[in-house]
Amino acid sequence: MVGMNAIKKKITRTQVEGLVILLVAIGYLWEAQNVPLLYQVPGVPGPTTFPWLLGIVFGLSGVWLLVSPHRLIARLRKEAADEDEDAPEAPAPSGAAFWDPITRDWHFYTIWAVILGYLVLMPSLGFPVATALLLAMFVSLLGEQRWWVVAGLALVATTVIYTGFALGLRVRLPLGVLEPLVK
Amino acid sequence: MFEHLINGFGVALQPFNLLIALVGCLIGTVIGVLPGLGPTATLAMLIPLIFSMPPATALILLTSVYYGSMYGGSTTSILVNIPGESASVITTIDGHKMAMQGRAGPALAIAAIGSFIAGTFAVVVLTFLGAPVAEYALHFGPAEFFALMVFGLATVASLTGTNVTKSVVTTCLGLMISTVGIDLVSGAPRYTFGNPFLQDGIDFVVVAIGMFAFTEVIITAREVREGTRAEVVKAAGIWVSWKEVVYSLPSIARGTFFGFLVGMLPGAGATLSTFIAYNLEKRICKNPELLGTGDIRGVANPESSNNAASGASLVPLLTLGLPGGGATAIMLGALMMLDITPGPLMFEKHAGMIWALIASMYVGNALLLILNWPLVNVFARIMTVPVKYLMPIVLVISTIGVWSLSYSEVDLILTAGAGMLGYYMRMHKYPVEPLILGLILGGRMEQAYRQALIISKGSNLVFLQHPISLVLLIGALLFLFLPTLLARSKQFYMARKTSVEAA
Amino acid sequence: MKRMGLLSLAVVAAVGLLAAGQWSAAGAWEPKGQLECIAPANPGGGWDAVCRSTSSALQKSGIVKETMYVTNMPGGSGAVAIANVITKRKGDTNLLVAASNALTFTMALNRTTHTYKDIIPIAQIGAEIGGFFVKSDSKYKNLADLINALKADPKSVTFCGGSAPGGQDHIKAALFAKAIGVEPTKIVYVPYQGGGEALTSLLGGHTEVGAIDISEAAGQFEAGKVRCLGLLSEKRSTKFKDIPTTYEQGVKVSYPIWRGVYMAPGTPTEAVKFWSEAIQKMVATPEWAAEREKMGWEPTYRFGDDFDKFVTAELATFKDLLKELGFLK
Repeated sequence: MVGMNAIKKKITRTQVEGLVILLVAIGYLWEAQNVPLLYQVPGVPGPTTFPWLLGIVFGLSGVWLLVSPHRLIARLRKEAADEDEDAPEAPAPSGAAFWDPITRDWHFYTIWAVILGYLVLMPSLGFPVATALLLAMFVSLLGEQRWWVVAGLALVATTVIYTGFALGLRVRLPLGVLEPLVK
Repeated sequence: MFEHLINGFGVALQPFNLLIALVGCLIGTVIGVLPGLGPTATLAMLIPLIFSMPPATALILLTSVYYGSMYGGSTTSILVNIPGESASVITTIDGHKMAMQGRAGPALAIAAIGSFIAGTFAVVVLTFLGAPVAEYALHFGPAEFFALMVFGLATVASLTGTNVTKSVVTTCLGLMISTVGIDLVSGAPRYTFGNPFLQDGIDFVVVAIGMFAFTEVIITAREVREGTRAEVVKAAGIWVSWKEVVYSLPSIARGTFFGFLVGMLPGAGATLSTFIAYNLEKRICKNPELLGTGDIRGVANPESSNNAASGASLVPLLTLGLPGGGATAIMLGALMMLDITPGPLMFEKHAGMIWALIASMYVGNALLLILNWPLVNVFARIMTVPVKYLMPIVLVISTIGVWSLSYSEVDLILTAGAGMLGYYMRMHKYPVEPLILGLILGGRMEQAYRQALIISKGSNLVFLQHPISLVLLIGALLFLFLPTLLARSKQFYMARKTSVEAA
Repeated sequence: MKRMGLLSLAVVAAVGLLAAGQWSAAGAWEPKGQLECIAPANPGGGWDAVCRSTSSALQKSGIVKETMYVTNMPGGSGAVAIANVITKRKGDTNLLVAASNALTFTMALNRTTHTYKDIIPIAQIGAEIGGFFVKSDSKYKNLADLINALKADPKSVTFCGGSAPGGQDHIKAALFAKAIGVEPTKIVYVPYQGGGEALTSLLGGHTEVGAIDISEAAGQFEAGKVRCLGLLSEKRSTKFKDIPTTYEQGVKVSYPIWRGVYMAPGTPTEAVKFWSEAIQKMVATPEWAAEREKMGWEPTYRFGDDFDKFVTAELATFKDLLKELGFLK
């Protein structure tokens, strides 16, 4: 029995989402005021009409998510009773990930940190170095323990990808710290 | 006409031109396979090369790249659940499930077969009915365009899940992201927060790669770690069976038809056509409940529709000299550089070149089908590469795709943001597809809306007065509410039936 | 003394040689690697033609040795491209950007915070004449029909063009209205992304009069799909000699459109010098004559400071004009 606990959790989450959506919509509409009004054809929609329309629909959907838990309870009860398809996937661990203590999910956050680090540092560190580091870290995080496989894959894949894209497809990839070596 | 066509084949089948077409198809396939790299940028990059070859050869190179990229787009959708082009977003739904069920080979093969049929159909129409068909497309004015976009978005809202509100939320979010940047109609900067990097707007590739590629990588990593990752079923066969081909044929036909209709309209594009075709497929076909569970028709339909659409978008270009946006606009530029004034007189003034180009499209489609025979084999084997090696590499290649857009750090950060949001959305069943479509269509939709209202002098009735737009808007409403209404009435009927039986 | 003289002579000669060496090194500055020309609009429009024809003529005539790529960067009537160039491409020695009076309008209307002071205007490479085009079966047979319709009801005619409201295609219509005594702000103008799209809407019958350039309409014009009611010019076009002008039909409005290129700010002087000279050399070549012919452009050129002064003055004139027409407060 997935039970009422899971259902309650799902409802509060839906309501939180509704609230966030509503706030985003309000922020979006607020910012529409800052759009400079340049010359406009009189009597027809200007640059803010469409954003206003979107903001309102978005906000209303947020409100709907916020105030419609009754319908949801009924539906979720039914789903729980019908053994909904996502029940065996155990939504609890994945669904609750954002509120779980970081210690329990260190692995998940490490992966995010590695990816973020890669995206932030790649332009300055240079593509080859950053990519080799990323590949090495990522492959070991995914459970590869043989160091020579990790190192080999990182080096070979980086070389192949760099050659293919920079020379083959003419994508300008930054060399970063390797720049002096080339000159 | 046949004489012209035969002459055209004479040129297209010259060994050198054939070789160029093959090279073009290969380049196209590669950029189609790689997420983030698209035909538009590649064509622009190839333009200077056309000085170094005869005009007909140059045009053959460009079209074969364009065609090849549409064939290649489905590959990563099927194998790693990451669309290679925006026009292959829909293919992920059934394609990747098929791959997980050990049917990557048949999925890839049917994508190639569907693409071949659709591509050839588009060229046949271009050959025999080009001008009248393109003239018809001109009837689509701003009001009709806006209605078409609304229709497209409405079909999506009912696409993925049972929860319409969530679809509306993500569609809206996509449209909202599309309003970032300089307003295309008035030139006013919107939602840029004074950041010049946001003035160009947020490219959909940035969001799509974040939400598909990064999210997929994270989810896979998580599943691998937790040991919940489903084992890929060992492949039964690489090539598709006759039975499956016959089973998919009606879907291919429908995908081709709708894809062509939508793709022919200047600026509508292949992406929109796949969404519309797949949704109509869901209403028309037998056993629609199978779609979305790894049904081969769910690959055949969108893949044929995007190829029909990209073929169709060449129709207004070649017959009337009017670009259909994106890649065809680049081709228009190429024509001008070759001293061909794009216009209705192209067929008379440059008959040799244009017919060689058309003939080369037949050749290109055939080449791609042949080319895919060995490629399906190679690509299907990617499913046997352990994900712990595959996913990090996918991540790197996706990052290059984003980087190559404008070489900007801001894009990379935005991708990370999109990845996080996408992860949350995937986990909590907010459909990603409507967001992507909203983002792609947003700019044009708003533009069409405002153009229509300028023409109508501010009267919103214009959308109801034009018959095509009226029909499309009614269709949109039906798509949004009919399923719910039908379900309601069914429930009501069942309830009454049981109560009657009880009594 | 003599020795000293010799020595000093040697020193002078050495310095001279050195200077000469340096000078020739500077004179021989050449761009290396990929060259790029940014067209701030979609392919098929006037800005795109500037880049395509310039890169083609420069390469065919051998004035530049490297390949020159054309990038399309549409949006905001040039505002997107100028922002991009100023923020991301500062000091790029290999980059040209297409420009025309449309860019001056973008600046005059404050669509961008940048002006010609923030970029380096290089040269004007030609001029073009705009006109009013209608579908071949249009009820407007000549300029007089259009004038009568506008005088009867300014809102009865739907104009279209490839620039944003208040941009140059709109201004063509507004100037015309002013000249025939119709309130310019009452004109109905539908903006499209470039002349190609405007032409599509014209052919589809969604709009009635296209305020676009000859080069954009040439293909359809030659095929007889569109007619030209009049060119906004004093003299007839050198390529399309049969099209009557506004002056001939009694309306004293002309609107020549210059085409030119600018470079990113912070570009080293030797690079600016190289490109300025390259373009000067280019416009004299037969390759350029052929390109110009193809586009239907008039041979009107301006270079360097001359061009810089011209565009700066134009910006001031346009601001006044827009205020006068009621498009700018």
